[in-house]
Amino acid sequence: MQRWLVWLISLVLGLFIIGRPALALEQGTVEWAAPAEMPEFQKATAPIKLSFPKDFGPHEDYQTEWWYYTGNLETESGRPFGYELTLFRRGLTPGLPNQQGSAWRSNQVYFSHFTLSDIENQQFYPVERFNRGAVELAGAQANPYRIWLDDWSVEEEQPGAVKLHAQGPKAELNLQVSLTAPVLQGNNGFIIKGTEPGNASYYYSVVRQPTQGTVVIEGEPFTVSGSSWTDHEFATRPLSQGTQGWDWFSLQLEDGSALMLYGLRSNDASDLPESSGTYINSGGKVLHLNSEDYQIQVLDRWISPKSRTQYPSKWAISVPKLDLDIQVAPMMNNQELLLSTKYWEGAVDVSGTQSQQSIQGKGYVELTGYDRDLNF
Amino acid sequence: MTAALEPQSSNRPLWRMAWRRFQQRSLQYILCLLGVALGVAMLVSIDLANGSAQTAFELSTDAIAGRATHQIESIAPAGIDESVYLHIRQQAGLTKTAPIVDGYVLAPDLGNQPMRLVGVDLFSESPFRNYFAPENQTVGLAGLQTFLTEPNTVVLSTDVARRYQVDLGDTLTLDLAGRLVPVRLVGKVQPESTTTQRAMSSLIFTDIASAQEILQMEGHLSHIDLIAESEGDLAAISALLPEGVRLETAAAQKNAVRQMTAAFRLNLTALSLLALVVGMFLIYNTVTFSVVQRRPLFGVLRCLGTTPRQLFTLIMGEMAILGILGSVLGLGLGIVLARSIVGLITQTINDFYFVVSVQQVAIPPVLLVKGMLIGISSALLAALVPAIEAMRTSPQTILQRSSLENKVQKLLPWLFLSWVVITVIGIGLLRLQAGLVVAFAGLFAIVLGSALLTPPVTAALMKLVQPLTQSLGVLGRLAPRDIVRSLSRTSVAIAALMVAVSVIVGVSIMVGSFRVTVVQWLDQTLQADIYVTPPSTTANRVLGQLDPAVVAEMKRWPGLEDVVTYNDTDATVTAFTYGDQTLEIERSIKLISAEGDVSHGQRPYAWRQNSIDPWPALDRGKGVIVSEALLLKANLSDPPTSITIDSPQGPKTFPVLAVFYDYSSDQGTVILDNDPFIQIWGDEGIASMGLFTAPTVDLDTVVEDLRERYQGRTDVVVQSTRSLRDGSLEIFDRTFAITQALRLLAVIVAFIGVLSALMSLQLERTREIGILRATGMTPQQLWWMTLLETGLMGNVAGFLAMPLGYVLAWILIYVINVRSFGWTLQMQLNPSYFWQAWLVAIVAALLAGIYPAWRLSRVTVASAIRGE
Amino acid sequence: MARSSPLQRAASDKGSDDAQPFIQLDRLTKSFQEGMVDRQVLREITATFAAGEFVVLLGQSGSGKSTLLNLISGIEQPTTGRVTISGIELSNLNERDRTLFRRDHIGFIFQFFNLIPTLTVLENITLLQELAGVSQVEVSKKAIALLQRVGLADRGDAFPDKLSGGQQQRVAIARALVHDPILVLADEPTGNLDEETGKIVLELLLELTRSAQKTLIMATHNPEIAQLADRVVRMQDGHLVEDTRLGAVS
Repeated sequence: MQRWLVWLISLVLGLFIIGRPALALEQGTVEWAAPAEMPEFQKATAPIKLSFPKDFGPHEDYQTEWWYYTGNLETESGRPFGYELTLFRRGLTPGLPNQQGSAWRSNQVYFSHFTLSDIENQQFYPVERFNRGAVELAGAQANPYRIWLDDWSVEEEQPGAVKLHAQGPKAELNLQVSLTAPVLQGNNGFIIKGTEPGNASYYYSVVRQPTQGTVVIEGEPFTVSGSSWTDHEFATRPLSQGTQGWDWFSLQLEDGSALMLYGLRSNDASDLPESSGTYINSGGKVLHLNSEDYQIQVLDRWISPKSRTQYPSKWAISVPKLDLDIQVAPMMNNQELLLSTKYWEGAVDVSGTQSQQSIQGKGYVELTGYDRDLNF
Repeated sequence: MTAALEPQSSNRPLWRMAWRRFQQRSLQYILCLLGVALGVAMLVSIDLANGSAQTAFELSTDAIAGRATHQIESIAPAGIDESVYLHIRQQAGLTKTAPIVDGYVLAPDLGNQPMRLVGVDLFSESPFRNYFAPENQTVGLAGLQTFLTEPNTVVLSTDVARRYQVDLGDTLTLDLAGRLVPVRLVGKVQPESTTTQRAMSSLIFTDIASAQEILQMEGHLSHIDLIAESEGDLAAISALLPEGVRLETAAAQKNAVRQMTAAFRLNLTALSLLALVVGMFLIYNTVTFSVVQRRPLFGVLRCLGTTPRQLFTLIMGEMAILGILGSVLGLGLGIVLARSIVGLITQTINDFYFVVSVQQVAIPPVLLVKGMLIGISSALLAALVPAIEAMRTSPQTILQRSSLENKVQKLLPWLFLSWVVITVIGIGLLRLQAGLVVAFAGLFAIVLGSALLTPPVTAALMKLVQPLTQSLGVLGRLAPRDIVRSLSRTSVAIAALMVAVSVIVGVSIMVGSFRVTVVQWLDQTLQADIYVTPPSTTANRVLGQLDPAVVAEMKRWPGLEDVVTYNDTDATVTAFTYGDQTLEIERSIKLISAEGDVSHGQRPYAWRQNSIDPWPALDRGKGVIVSEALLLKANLSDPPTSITIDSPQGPKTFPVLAVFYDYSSDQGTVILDNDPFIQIWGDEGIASMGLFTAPTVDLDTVVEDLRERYQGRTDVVVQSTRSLRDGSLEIFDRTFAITQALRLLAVIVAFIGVLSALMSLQLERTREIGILRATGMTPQQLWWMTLLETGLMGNVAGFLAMPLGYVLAWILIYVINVRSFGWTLQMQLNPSYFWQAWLVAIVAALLAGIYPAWRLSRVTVASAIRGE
Repeated sequence: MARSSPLQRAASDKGSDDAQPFIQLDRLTKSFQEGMVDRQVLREITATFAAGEFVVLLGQSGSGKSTLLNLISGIEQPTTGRVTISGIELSNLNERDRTLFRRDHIGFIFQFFNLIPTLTVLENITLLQELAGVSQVEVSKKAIALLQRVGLADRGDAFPDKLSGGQQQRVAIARALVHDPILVLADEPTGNLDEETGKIVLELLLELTRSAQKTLIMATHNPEIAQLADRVVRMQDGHLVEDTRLGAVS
């Protein structure tokens, strides 16, 4: 009888219920005022004398700085893992601010990437963190050597013994890394990366550092040992305009030698002549390699299912000077970091020949700029 | 006839008739519609305005709290030591934590409103709030350079910047209790949804470093937001927290804020419900008329074969349509109204509870649906009785008029009885110690009961006045008789007017008594001659402290006999102790640290230990003085032996020395001597001072000297007792402005009710009037008769409203106020409340009589007397 | 008589002075606007009635009888033409004066009795006199006397709806006569009554008016009643079609 009435009322009510807003804390966009003036940082224009432990620490006069730890680990039973723990420093203005007023005032931004590669399960655990270099939340110091962001840290607990700790939601890293002698890259730690003056950086590595400790994945701990490689580099806008990215190889071979190579790519996909490398033989002797001293040939490519980015995934490297011919292949393809910067960095296997002798090794490869221009 | 045999029937012809009738009597229906609309409008507007203030607060809290599940808060006024944050990040390794430093500032360049300055750490923001997440900044971190490295740079929402026409690079001034801080706008944030945009309209973002500097909180955090993913996280954090810092769930916090204003909001809602009740009388009236008038028609229809059910449907259907239309209109009106009263409500909330800035009336559909449902269902409810009446129409063609009224006459004793029963129920409800809603239910029962009493009282009164009015001639005799003869309709109009007027009387007495009580209290309490405070961010609350140098100087100022100083902080009472029994509670209070009694012993107390002045004992740190609101709102009648307050050093128990009256806060206030306060809470600041001048010096000279000394200092306000008192009363009056507005609305609804009732009543008598006019009644006599009748009705309403108003006032003062706010008021009766209300009733009734009288005088006699 | 207006005096003189008729209707027309159409109810009615005459307006429903009565009593105003009663032209009076004229000098009897339901029988009769300011005591005395004459002396305190139709109409007659009008207008006074009752009521009405030498104008469609009149005016479609003076009635 009053069917129409019921209908009418439900219609009215229905109209009100539609389009009920919910408070969603979604993203927003910020329009920032342009900085009054671009701060002038010091540039790497000529070799300087790097001395240790002083230069383990930060260089706030330069805009960008990083401490890279990568390593290949395995359990006693031979289950392989790879790790990366990188702390980046970026100065917003040169030098340190004069500290008065709030202790939170800072011009130093730290961010950090931590990854763990579980080769057996083909699992990759990348995490990123940010903080300001203030109130002890993040920072770097030379003596005692310590770089940290929140509870992630690289810390020299005893002379020569560096402790690494990082923890993400699913993976955790606790390593003891034995410091070896730093190796200055390029010309006494000065490497040129572009054509303009100042397109360069200061760069040293610490290679073949015996490493032991534990990795924890999804709550399961593994006792591991292996070898770690540290790169510490600082610069101010080291790349030329038009540099697309780089492919970086840090390889530790079984004979006790180590090879670092990088190839800068321009945005027309050609290799840039500023690429170079370093060979450290088992006796610790350092040999600088120019771009014409080696060839890198891409043998395979992999398309990331997540980012649809195409990365090279297998290389043939030959260094005629060293009579070295090796193939480098990712232990697994799934080692892409989709963080504020998107790049691929992962553990690789090395096999090949040197002077007709078969040679094996492990290492890390970093592939940047396949997603977009790097803005360093 | 069984259902299966029931032939097909259509109500369409009935609806057509209803439509014709609506066209003929549109004014009556429009008035009825207005009655529904106004009732709904009041309800909805109060709801919306209340809700908007609440939502605005919650939204801005949400915008700050983001996805936080918990907050770490400080009990100490200074805030959390920032090392706590470092420990949480580095020792517990919990990174879904964000430090916040915030406080209220006045922004003269942004409409001079209180805004919340929120200091954030962009690097820990992303799990909570994505507006600033560094990954959104495609230019990397360069964009943040100025914000992070340059002090006093702020970010506003794009909306606010646009509204106040400020742009990137502009300098704004922030007023922090008189201290002016210039800041530069370096960013505009545009959240994706309008809800969040709205939430941000009262926020100013800055870097946490700038916030610490601007708010002078270096080394401290206001709170730490936290997303806890497991119980383990919480345990890890709890283990790290020092004494004086506590972990709270975000929901609990929101709830605390809601609790704070619950009583205030419920009071307003109840007041708005009263308007709806008055509106229901109106609906009942209109429907009853429409049924009574159509009885002959219904009789004929019944003869012709219309079923009772169809008639019922017809009436209810008409009312449903009116209810829907009225409710929709009411929603619209309510939204418009809400926009104007939201300011009043926000003001009161700012004065008494928390700082909130409402830029916009939020219109949650739930509230609209609620208003709609209440509007429609009250319309249907009011129409139910007359609809049933219509259903019972027996098939007949000749109307037995007198028998209908006789039925009402026979009902009178029963109505009287119902009044007794409902009133007893109402008293029972009021006596129950069961919270505010029950108390309001009791109040409503009393009001409704009185409405039921209206017909018998009206009948009795008319009999009584007849000898008096008789002296006015035959019309005087006719008028009361007419009222009684049409009692079923006149008494409804009278009842509606009576309820509205009694609300006026009741609320006037309550507000008047309140004011007198507050004035007395102020006069007794404010004994110091001069008061020194920082300027207030909101009217009632000082959110800052005096410069210590100023305090020191004041204490040495020549010509002063005594200087008392105060400071305060928010605290939580966790237990009341009676002898060896402990009652655990959780109650937010204002903890006042006092050095000296501003009342110099003049302050009245509700209770004193051993009936002696508690201040000497307080001064020796022997205990605390608590406000009566603290006890009354906890439903406690006896003062406890001691209370326990959560302090930075853990729970502290203090003996209770006395219970004092405090009308400045309904949350409860505790006064503690400054020595234990400084020792336990660690805050040596002074928020206000009271200065007593020596009898030998001239007060005005001292005030002038002080003003001259601090001329040009925006952070020191020197006030005389008088101006402080006047300021307090101004707040008081402003608080009740909303009450006045609501009262007026109730009268308007009642006026419409009376107008509609009288109109129907008079129109129904058109024919009768026609005969009178045909046989020689002059138009003037007609006017007289109509106004005499309506005047009489107004008188009855006014007469009945006085005792009911008194009863309402009594309930409001001694039950509602005590339970809502914990304030004891002294009832003050002023004859003007009564005669003014009486006047209102009569004037309303007379005014309402004018239109029907005018209409009747214009009726052409010939058409009125033409056959049936 | 307590009060005597010039009009009443004029009326009582009327019998002897035929030159100036008691009621003069001069080219009366009345039309109503009905939508776009102008409906003529009365067309050019001209007539005179003498004092003390019993005139029957005979005609079918819609012939304009009631309207004519309304014009004579001043309830309605003619569209054109004049109504003059005892030398007073009604259209020159304002609403209030017309009402007062009606109240003081005209008695009205309706087909549907039209008693006020909220007043007792006695009050119905006294109401108008009281409205005119006559003291209650005085008017009650007259009313009771009249009630006695219409045979309802014992029903003075009853309410109208307790009375039968005939009784109600007898009350209405009493109401129409209580102020001693010079002119009584009756619109189908028996139209709503059965034949028997109608006859009784009619006789009562005639007796009360004739004995007091009052002018009585009665609208009816009943030719039988016309037999009793001094004069029968037949109406049709708003026209006055026939005016018959019957012989003297004893």
